[in-house]
Amino acid sequence: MVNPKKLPRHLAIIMDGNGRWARERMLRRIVGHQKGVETVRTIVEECSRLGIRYLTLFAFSSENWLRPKTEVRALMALLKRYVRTEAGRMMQNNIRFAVIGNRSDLPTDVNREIDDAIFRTSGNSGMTLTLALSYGGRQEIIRAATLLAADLAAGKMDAAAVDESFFERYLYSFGMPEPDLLIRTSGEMRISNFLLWQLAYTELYFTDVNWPDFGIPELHTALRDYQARERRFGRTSDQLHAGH
Amino acid sequence: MFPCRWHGGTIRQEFTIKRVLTAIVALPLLILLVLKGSFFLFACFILLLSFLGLIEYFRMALPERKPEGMAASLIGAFLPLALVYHDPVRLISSLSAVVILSALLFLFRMTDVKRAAGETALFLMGFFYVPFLLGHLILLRGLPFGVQWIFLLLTIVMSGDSGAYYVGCRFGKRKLYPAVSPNKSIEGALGGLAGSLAGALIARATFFPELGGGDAVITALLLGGIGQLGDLFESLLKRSFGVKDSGVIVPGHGGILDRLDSIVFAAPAAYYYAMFVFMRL
Repeated sequence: MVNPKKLPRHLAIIMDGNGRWARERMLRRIVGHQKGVETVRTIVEECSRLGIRYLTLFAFSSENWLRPKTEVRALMALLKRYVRTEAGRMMQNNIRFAVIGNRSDLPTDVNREIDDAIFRTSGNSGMTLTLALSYGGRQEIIRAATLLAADLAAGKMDAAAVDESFFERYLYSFGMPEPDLLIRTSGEMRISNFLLWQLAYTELYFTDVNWPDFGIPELHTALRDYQARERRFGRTSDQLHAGH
Repeated sequence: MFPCRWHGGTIRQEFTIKRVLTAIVALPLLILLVLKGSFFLFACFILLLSFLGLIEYFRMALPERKPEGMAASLIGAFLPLALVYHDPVRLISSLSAVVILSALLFLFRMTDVKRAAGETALFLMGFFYVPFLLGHLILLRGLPFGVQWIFLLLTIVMSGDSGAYYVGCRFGKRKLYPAVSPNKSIEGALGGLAGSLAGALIARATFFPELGGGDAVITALLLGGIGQLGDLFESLLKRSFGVKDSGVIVPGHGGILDRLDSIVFAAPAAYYYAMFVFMRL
């Protein structure tokens, strides 16, 4: 079983394999994306039930805009419908909704649904569900650096005072702990420009299962795998056991 | 549709009670299986239904060919598996194998030359009528929101059956198709569509909010209508074979084919409509 005391505080997931799932069934990619939405619901609610505090899902990358126009349009329609229908379920499950990424790229109607859902769920105290939309890790770091540079130029602070925790204030994820565990489905073993800064000490877990087939048992397997690991943050095992 | 005897004599009370009791036991089990059971378990359930349906079909269609019918039911029950693997080659090869095996069977176990062609055709029709159509339930279950789609299909068919039954009993005057099913009325058929529509709207309001309003209406009329045609077709088969109930497996409900007649026709329609809904996005 999953040990409720050793849960990751922040779980990040790269949801990959919708298209592959569809192709294996000779269905169109969009059917796979819709099946993936169903998995999102299952996994969100299971994480919330388990007591994970932060769940961040890589839903749409800055590079995904390069996909065929019809697929992008369908994904945006799907996203809009997801945010609208799930806001009610988030309320039931006490989930707070957030978005990271370059939201100005998103269509206005999608942004409206997102604003509405963020506002509606802002008083919830349970899990924070963050969707990474039009998100790229490098873009996020550049954006942070630009904002920081502007503040430095305006003389708001001294360049010598800039350290990691200060820099983090300029990231989308400000206020969130770093992910403890990253899961990527569908067999690919790369980070693909996701949370580059934040993943520095994150445990990585890869599975061959496609996202639409990633269910509660697969999530539990990943969590148990994580719980069996020793996280050292650059120290030695002995140091950790000595309680330093 | 269960025939209601609205003129002359009472509805057989005991039959109705048995019917309701069976529904009370079977329905929660069915709901539990669809809702909590894995995809694999659901597929196994469809294989079982195919098997039982085929046994009934062969018993009706070829009553003198009992052992052959049993063997064919066993083989045919696995046909839906070809659909599970999403492999057209597997599907075509299994259908081809079934055609050739059936042909060989009648070639070597021929009893009457004049009847052999008809027997072979009836034999083959069983595979298409029962497992092939029924297998679409497995495909439907595997789609996004498959569980909801399965429940939507069941709701539309069941509420359609009830609507047709009660409206037909109360207001049924004009015969629908007396040569095939003397107990059905046009009023009942319309009541059935109304029942299906009510069922679909309730489904949308409860377990399937993702379904669009227009889609709810279209699926109700489409699946409800095709389901009723499936019901009529099964009546036609029974009349043609000269039997009354397809079997006695479900207490108070007649045979398994009597229960599945609407679903076998509505399942492919549901699957292809669901696909259409996903594509349209």
